[in-house]
Amino acid sequence: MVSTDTRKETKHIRTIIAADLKGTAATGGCRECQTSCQSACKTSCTLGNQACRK
Amino acid sequence: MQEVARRVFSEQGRPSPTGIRRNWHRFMAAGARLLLDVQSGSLHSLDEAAWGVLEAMEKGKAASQTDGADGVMADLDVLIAEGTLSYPDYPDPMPAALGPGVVKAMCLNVSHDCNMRCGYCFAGAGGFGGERSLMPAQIGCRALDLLFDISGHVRHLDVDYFGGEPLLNMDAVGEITRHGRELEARTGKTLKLTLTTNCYGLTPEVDKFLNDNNIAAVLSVDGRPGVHDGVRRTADGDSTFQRIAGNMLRFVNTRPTGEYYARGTYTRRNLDFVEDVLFLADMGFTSISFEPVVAPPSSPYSIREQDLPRIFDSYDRLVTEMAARRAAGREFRFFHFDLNVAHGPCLAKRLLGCGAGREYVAVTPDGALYPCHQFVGREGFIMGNVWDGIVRPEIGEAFAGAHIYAKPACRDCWARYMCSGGCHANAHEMNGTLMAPYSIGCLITRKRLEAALAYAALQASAPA
Repeated sequence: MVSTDTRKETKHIRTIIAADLKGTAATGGCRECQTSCQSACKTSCTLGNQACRK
Repeated sequence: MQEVARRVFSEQGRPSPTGIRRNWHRFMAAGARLLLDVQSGSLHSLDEAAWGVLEAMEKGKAASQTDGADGVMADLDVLIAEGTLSYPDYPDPMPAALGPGVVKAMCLNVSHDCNMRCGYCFAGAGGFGGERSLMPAQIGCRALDLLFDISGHVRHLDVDYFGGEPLLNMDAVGEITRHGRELEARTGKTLKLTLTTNCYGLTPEVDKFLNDNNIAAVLSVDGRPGVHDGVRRTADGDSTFQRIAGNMLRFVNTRPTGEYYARGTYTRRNLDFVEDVLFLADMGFTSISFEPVVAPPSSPYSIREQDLPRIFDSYDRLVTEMAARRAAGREFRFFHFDLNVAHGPCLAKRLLGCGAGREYVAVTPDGALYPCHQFVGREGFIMGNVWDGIVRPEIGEAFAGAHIYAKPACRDCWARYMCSGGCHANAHEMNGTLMAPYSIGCLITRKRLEAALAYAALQASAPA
């Protein structure tokens, strides 16, 4: 679980985007997301630009 | 060393350099020092002290001898405690279950024919190595019946009209679309339709059809006229840029909110493809995608290892140009930089990538099912047909087995959860196996992801 609400200050490392991919190991797999090679790539699958529809 | 820092290293042991290199990806892009935590997907920026400490740790050197080490260690503990940084020697997470394959997307090759002859076409100028043919509407409608049936509980379905050139078979596209909308109404499922076209035959009537039926469009164009016409010509050898550019602009202007991508392919001949992206942006296109060509090494278009530095320069420059245009109010989208870092797909999806053969199949004009559009015509990959469904499930199972934890080249790659193992078709074409990804594709993907993350960092840091 990621929570940056009550975090201590950091001095040298600044979080730009907090994500919780690990947490989706237990909750994911519904398969409602778009098929990744079905739009503007068609030759080089990349999943990072897909969104979760949950 | 401070107490918090001792906590990580005394309780869990000093992270191994191997684990750090595998799970903390440190890189410079667009002038920023960035750190991707691979397992959580979180993105951080580093100051010079943190950069130095992490560099020392990657090399197995004593971090405490580096300037600012105590403070950096304290920061690492904060991030690990909150979950935005993973302890690098922890094993990769496993999804609860991958479950059986559920086909939820189809590529309908409505036309195995084309009015253009592009030099790099993987579809053999439209015919996919076979006879030229058009898909009868009956076959396409039957394919949709099958899709709605075998997609089970999945409510969001995707279908792409593809080819060859789908506009050569618009009567069938119209009939299949009507049938799809009827199936939607009957079942309560949602069918997202996309049509990929070379735009040569795009007419105002087709514009209206695509808009009225809410069909997303992928519009093929390679950028600057000289680049485009150097590869994308008619069957008679004529240039096409002038005609397709006019058609594209007219069409895009009829759908101010409709989804589209101006989509190009770059080759060895335009390694400075950033100029082609910017050219299209200057023409007024606001959604753009560019892909590296996939061609055998013998092809004059293929990307070679010595071409990579210029390709990497193009991605770097694209980041800075896009950031500058965004700041100036002239923003455009680049498909591969449109990362959804915080709310992207779940882990289960990322293990298997595109889902070819398992969640996604391609349908030929005669109704045969293949794992994806690029496998069409390749021997041994017919999975079934639109009447009998999937009769060779072992093909899909082979694709399911080619996940990122199973492929040696992917297991330790920092990009594994964002690339998801790359394109199966490219792996098979280049290496003859699904288990070994196309290595030049891997190098390009890693660079493109670094650029995309740098652009995401710039966007997150920019004033609202």
